[in-house]
Amino acid sequence: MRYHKRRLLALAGTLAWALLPAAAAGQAGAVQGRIRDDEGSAVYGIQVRLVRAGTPVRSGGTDRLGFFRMPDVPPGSYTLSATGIGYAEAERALAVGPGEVVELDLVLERRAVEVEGIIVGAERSRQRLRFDEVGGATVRELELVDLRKVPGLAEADPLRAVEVLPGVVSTSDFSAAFHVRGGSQDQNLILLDGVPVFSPFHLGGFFSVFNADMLDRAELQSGGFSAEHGGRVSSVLQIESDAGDGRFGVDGGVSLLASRVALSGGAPGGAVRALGLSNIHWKASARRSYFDWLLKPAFEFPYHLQDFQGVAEAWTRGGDRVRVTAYSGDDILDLTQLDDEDFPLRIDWGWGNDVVGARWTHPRPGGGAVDARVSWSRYGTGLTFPDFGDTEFRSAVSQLQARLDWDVRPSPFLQLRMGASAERMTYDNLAATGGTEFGRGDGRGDLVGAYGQATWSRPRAWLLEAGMRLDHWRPDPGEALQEIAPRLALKRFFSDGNGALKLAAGRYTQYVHSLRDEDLPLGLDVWVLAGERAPSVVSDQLQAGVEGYPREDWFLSLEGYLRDFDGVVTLNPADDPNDDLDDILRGTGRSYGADLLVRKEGGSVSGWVAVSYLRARRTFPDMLAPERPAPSVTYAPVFDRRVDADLVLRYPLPWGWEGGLRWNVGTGTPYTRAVGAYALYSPRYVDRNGRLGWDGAFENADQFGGYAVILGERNGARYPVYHRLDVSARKTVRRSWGTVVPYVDVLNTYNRRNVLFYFYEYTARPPVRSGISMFPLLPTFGVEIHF
Amino acid sequence: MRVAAHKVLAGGACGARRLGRGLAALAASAAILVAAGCSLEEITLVEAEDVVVAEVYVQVGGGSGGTNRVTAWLHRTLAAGSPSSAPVPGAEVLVTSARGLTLELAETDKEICAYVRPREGTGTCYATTAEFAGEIFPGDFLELEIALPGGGLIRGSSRVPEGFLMLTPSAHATCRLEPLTPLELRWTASGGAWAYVGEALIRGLKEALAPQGIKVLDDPLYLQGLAVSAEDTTIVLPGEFGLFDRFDLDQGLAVALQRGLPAGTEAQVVITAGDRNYVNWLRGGNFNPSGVVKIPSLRGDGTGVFATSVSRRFQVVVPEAGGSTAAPPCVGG
Repeated sequence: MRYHKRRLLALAGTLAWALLPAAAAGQAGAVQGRIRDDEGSAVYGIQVRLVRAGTPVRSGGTDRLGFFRMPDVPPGSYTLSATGIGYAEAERALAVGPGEVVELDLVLERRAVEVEGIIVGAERSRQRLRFDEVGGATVRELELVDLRKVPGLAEADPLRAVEVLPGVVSTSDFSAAFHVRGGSQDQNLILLDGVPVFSPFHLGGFFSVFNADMLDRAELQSGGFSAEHGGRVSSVLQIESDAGDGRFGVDGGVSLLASRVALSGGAPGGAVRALGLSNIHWKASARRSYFDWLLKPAFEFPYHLQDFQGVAEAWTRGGDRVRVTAYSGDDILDLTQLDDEDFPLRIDWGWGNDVVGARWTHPRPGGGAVDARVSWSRYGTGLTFPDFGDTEFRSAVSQLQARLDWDVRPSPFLQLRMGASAERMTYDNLAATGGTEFGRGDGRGDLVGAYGQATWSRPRAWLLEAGMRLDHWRPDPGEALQEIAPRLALKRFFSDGNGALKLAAGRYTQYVHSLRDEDLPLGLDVWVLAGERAPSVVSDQLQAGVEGYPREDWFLSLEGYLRDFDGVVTLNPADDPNDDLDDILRGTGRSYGADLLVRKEGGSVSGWVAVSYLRARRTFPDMLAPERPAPSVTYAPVFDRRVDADLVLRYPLPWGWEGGLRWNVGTGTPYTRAVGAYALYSPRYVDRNGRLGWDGAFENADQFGGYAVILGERNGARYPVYHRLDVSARKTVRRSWGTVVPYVDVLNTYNRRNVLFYFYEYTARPPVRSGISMFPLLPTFGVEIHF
Repeated sequence: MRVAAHKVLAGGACGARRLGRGLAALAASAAILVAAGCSLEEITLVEAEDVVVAEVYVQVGGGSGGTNRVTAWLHRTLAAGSPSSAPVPGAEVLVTSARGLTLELAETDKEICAYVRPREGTGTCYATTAEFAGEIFPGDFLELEIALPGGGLIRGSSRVPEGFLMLTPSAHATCRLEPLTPLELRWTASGGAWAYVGEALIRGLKEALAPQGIKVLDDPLYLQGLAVSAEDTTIVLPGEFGLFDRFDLDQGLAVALQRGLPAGTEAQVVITAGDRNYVNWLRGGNFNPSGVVKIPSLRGDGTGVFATSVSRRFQVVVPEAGGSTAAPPCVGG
């Protein structure tokens, strides 16, 4: 009994502490509500202002469900104004009494013409909302306009655009894969409308699968993310699709990579009413590359990619939202029809993703929502040789997930978010040829997770987030395990809420790995689950920084971080074929560094500077050493780019053109230098009685077949400094029927020979170091059409 | 303009893991072709590390007539300014067994160790006689010590794989096979083996396949097969041989071999069980754009391999239609 009393006292104390700010706020009230359009859809990103005597007193923005909230409003009479892209401005007079919470719902009318100032204002509003309401996570948001600001390879690519954010490292021009703050690329959780996507890349990493025409926004959480996110330890990248506004529209594009088209529209009013809905919006796109056609005059390259993406969103009359997302994409390399002279071996190779997800969101009065999701995601590759039935290479991973999130706001200062998820992951990998299995792994894992997170805020003073995530992972084969992952974040505002110090700490867990060799610039992921063969990853992370708005249009952020990783993996090159469980090596990692972001919005010239400093380490058993047990080796992984700086600008050009610029400079990435070479021999028994033959003497030996290399210190050398300037120019030509946007992108404008690989050729006389560069000067162009 | 494709694929016929990597690299190289990365200026290197490379093999049953061989082939990394590798004369090479046997390998003719060498390259061969080598048995634990002439020691150790018996074909040195009949070779497991390397030298293909218009450039044709792990004790002859030659073989020939050996051909076959060191050296290690990386089993003042193996050999004869041979059938004989 005494025990219960103590617990009640503790609970009462906690509640009193949570509610204290309301009392401390004195007589201040609050204004909150929801903004929808004239069809009943919630409107995201509306800038909301409370104005008294012509002076803005409070401002904020609407979230995905159209909610806005402005606490700590002094009593008095105000005018509330709401402005947003594509909508007429709305105003409403209101009065706030002492301690009163004013609830207000507004309906905005659509307006066809977009006004630049409003666009910038809405972006600024969303960024500011993040700054005000997010405590621990380092959130960087990219709108479509940002994406198009970054010059791209043939067409805008959300994942390549992420590279320009602080803390994000790309190891080569050839890959859209990215590393965040010393994490491996498989440690990034990539979500398409909330659905996890494995390996979202075409052509082995050259392009992402995300079609910019379908994009609404991309948001990268590069650290300190809250307890609702589990499953990856390094970052969360959320890609949100645009379901359109319900009006019929066509977005088309032709680039050197592919042709694409996206259609959008709404369901007929009769059907909508019959379903008891307020409206239905949808958008669908298709894309196909034409390398195979373009390159045909020069040589046969029977490769193409194709993808389809669709999203539909329905709003009920009560304001609920139902959203369905689907994606299917394939890469196809068909070497079965080539002339024997060109390519003697017939190969049929394909890989791709399938994703489908449904989500129901029920808003709650006063803010908050119940959100239910089900999704399925798959990635797979398969390679066969039609002439040789004994050969098969395949790899597949899938994830089926159901989750429920519940967001409640018991007071204007306290937000509680909790949720639970259940998911099943499976994987199946096989490499077999010549009657022998060289690698096989399959299994499944069930993950049940639950989290709770409390956010307490004292506007423009304090923001505290405390959360806990519990995971129960049950692999088959393997032993079940439980992980407790606490998260804590604290933000202290200063300068009347325009600046803040922030601190976040947390534990993050992951139960899936990619075995892709990250030293290769391109490659396909081979996924395995934690269990009998591979460990789970546990990462403890700490970050601290300062951020704020020194001026209205300027945002500044400086953060330092420290991350430890236990359970990172790599392939064991010396695995024992008699041991099924030693083909994956377990290791540890550590990274620390600092990220600086200075961003300017508004005005004729906008953009940002991002500077990152990183030191990353990985430690694994050194299986290339002759000793057993193998000693460990600690080295800088290939993504240890010590200093990486990006300048991104958007600026006006003459004759109505708009310019974009990205200049990237970074320390060279590490590599392992070959310090010598020697002739390579193999024993031959059948007719040489075990004597050795030099491999280079045989007809099928290539230039290097006869020699092997001796390596220096693992990743002990670095390539030269990387730098590259990309520029773009776009012009929006408006016609009565729509718009046409021709664009020109020039990558590597001054033709910097950034090194992809060095080759140490000791067989040459004299020995030489040669190499191959990344992108040369590469102009691309295209056109987009919207109507 | 030059691309990295052939560099990525470098390595030749050693290990199917490399085949998998090669295929993965195929896509990579294709993409690199499309993206057209440019070659960089060549810089002359003035230094190359001088490292002794020792390739020491203990081959039980691998020699002529099924005798044992113990040889050490010592050479060096290529010197700066010269593509040749230098010899390593005057070394003391000792192989000792846990049973108390000590073999001192004597410097001998290069041909004993290596039947083909780089044009300007060379090395030094050390070997013992078949009589002494015959004192080594399957399952023996062996240690190697090489004292280099200028000072320095290289050491290694290995356990010889256990002996194994052929089940199909059984104990016969020569057996008879019906034309176009794939033959599943089967044997008992060799304890401690990490892999079995199969070698087949097929004679008579050129004439046998000429009526089908299939070109056979090499006759006899040498092919390799592989069975990974001690328990993987089957390989199909000839379809699963030539695994690493499928990029190079005439595809008509490669497909024809899937159907079996044609009439009028014969194949000499050796199955070799290799230890850990043998397999690691054979298959190679991590990717490096400059060339093949081997996993050594020697430590000290040099690198290289101390490999042990056990071999079994036999011959398969496929008579002409209407022809006959005294050899027993390969299956059920």
